[in-house]
Amino acid sequence: MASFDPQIVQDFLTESGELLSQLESDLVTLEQDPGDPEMLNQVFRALHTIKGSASFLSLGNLVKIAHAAESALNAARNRVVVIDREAMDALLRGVDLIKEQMGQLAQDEPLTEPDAGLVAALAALGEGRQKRPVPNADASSPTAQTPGRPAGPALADGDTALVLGEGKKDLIEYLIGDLDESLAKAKAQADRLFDAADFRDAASQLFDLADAIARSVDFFEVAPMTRLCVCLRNAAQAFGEAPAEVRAQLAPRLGAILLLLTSKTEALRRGVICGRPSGTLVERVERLISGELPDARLPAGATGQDALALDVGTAPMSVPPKGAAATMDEPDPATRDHPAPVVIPEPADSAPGASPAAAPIDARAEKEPSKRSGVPGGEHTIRVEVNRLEALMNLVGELVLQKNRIAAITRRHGAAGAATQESREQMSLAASGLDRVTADIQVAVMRTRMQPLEKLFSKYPRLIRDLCGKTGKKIELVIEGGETEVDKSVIEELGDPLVHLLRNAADHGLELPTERVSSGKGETGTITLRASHEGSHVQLLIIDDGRGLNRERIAAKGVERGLVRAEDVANLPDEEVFRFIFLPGFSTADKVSDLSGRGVGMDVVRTNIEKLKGLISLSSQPGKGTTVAITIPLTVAILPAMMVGVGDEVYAVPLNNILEIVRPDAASISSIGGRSVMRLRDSVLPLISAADLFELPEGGVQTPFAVVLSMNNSRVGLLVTRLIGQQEIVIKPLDGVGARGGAAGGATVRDDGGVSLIIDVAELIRMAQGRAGA
Amino acid sequence: MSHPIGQQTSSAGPTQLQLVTFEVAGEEFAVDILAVQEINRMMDLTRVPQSPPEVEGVINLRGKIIPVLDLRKRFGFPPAERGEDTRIVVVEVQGRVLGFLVDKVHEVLRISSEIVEPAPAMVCSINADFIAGVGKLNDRLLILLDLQKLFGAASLGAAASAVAAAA
Repeated sequence: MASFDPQIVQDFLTESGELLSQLESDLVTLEQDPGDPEMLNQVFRALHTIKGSASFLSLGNLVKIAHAAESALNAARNRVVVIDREAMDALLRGVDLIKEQMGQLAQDEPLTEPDAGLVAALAALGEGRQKRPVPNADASSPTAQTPGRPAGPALADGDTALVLGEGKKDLIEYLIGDLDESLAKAKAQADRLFDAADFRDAASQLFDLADAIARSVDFFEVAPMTRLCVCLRNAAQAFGEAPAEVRAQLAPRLGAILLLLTSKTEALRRGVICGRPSGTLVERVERLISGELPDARLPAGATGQDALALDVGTAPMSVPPKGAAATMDEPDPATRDHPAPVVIPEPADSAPGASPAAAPIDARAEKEPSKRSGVPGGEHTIRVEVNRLEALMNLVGELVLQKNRIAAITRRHGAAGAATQESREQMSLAASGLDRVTADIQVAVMRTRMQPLEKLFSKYPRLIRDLCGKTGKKIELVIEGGETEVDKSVIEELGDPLVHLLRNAADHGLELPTERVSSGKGETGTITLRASHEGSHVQLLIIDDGRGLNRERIAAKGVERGLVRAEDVANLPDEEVFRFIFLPGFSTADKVSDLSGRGVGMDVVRTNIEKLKGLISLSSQPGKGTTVAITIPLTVAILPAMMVGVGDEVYAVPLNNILEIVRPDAASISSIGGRSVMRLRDSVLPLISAADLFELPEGGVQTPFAVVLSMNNSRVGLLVTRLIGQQEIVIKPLDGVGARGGAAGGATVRDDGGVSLIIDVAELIRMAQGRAGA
Repeated sequence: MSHPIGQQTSSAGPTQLQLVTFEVAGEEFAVDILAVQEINRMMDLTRVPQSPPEVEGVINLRGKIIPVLDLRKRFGFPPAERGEDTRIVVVEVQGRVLGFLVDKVHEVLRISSEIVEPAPAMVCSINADFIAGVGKLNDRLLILLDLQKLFGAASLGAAASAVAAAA
């Protein structure tokens, strides 16, 4: 791999990574409506951009697969093939391979050679070979021409209207833009051909550019143009090794080819196929390539214009050029040679000589310089390394802590009465100003890390598609609220749980089409993934309209595993029965399938969601479907907490988990089987004394308050000494301390500079339940 | 940084060692100055439940939460009251920042590696594994500590799992 600036490689990875994930979901959308010209074009463009960037970076293996996929899509766009399931499988496998290669690029490893079978399959599609006949291809229309073959009979003399298929129209502009770009670059290289020191490099660059031009020209299915491109490419290839006198004749003629292509491109822009003949020029160049000097010679120092005048003539484009070229050959004062009698321009254009079939290019277009179209406008966004944002986020965390300290000092100062009334007021004014600014900065910095959930969601249509294939079910995935933004770290943590949940819904929730029909539902099951903001939280719903959870079966399994006594089952609310699913190793599936059933998934889901300080709950109606609701905070770095005192120590309790705080009287606390519980209205709440929990010396510590904590519908009361107040806390990891487990889920710095442990509510509830079980 | 100093003498000839010396339970110890980040006065420690016994608690070191260990406990010395002279020596060991409590910090000392000898089997009451060497300095005996063995991930991890096993 050539050594490129790591920054450029990184940019490529980021940019192409985004394009790829969009591409993937677009492909799945495309499958729903394989003929959708809009989608076809969008997919084509994305792939084209990736390929362009990859060839700039000389990633031959990536270009190879991207090119094959691109030509398959091009054929689909030309209505030569239809993207059926098989074709889509090949395309998606291609996308997978590109992803894999990009992973390798990121690791600085060599890229995998694409699977030859896959490339061949895609290339076959590109050449219009598909097993099934194409139902809607119109064989009589010129647009139905296979791009890999010459486009039939030569065009009539003079200009003709450009006729392109429906699916191509809105791409014309785009491809002409491409052509312009490549042609301009090619011209620059062609000028260097005259340079004795530079010509080899220029020729090889030109060779690559000729490929790029050929690809764009291919689209328009104008055979003479294709022929010019092939000729240009062959000439560029031969140029480097050609003798000097051949080069002197060839260089201006290559310039002429480019001029001709430019004028023909201009015509295309106007919707016209330029009929200006190019046969003579092509033929002379071909002879030069084989080392034969043509009869019509150009003088030393001739330019592309001169060559154009000699070999094509300067006839205006719309003049029927038959014969004109021949006559134009003669007046050239620089040459005494006669125009060869074989020069009959028109038929030459469609001559079988250099087969334009070579146009679907081999994958040597590796050094195609800076084909970086599709780079976003760049005016309103910049890419920033995540590390920098992370550093900024940490600093803001520190700022919040310092602000809290200032606020505390201000309060104490005011209370102590050490300052005058005026200075007290000024201080509190300054402190509240600081407070406001800090809060704004915090929000602003947090926003920089926010990303739309779409980033995650766009991967799922593909997942569901694959699941459909594996399960034989018909599933429609409806995604709502993809624009909802959450912190980057939340997105990362949310990926796995959502995949698990979607798999579960597809594998367990939804029924097979026959079963659905027999229970009066439509064949196609629907899974809805819905995201929305709920205050400082985001709610995610995964709703399926399948068979629902089987309460009996889950309850039976629960009894079997000793989670509940058989006689109590009937009284358990549905919710609590369903909660069993989240326990490690709990599975009601009789057999382990490729997709799920190992009893690991839901446990992982719950753990990940809890890591995000989120809540997860399940509801289900037999025969109607299941809904999984996940509520997660927008960010995990800073959270509001209630500071509580236990003896002389201060702990932080996440505010989100606090239901209420009560002051139980002695009568309401009792002991059941050695553990204390309290009666709270009409329910029984297990109690944990913070003094026991944190191993405070026995006795002497009063704990009159019970903080009622809840997570995922389980509740526990934590007995504490005093309530201090609410504070925004920054979560700091407790690594390196060597503490395993325990009720401390991290630490934070208080406003007085001291350290407080943060109570891990999930762990606390597990402890309460553990004791209950024991 | 905290490579066994004794080996240096045998392989590379005499070099100058720069050490921070301190006192724990009446004995004088030293660590390589390069490992020491800073030395702080005693501050409030926050206890961490279910941590290894020698972890006294955590402190806030300019926004970073670091554990503080009691060298007396690590060495198996009897506990003592913390006084005016108690200091927290903050070191970095294998990329981890941690602090340890000492009774008193003495000085920064420059000695030649020539006067450092490998630890004899029984030089004092502490585990010989923790000792990188012993320096004889006029009438003083300096115990050079091997911080990696003392605080390295393996040693603390073992302590932690021992606690877990006991629980």
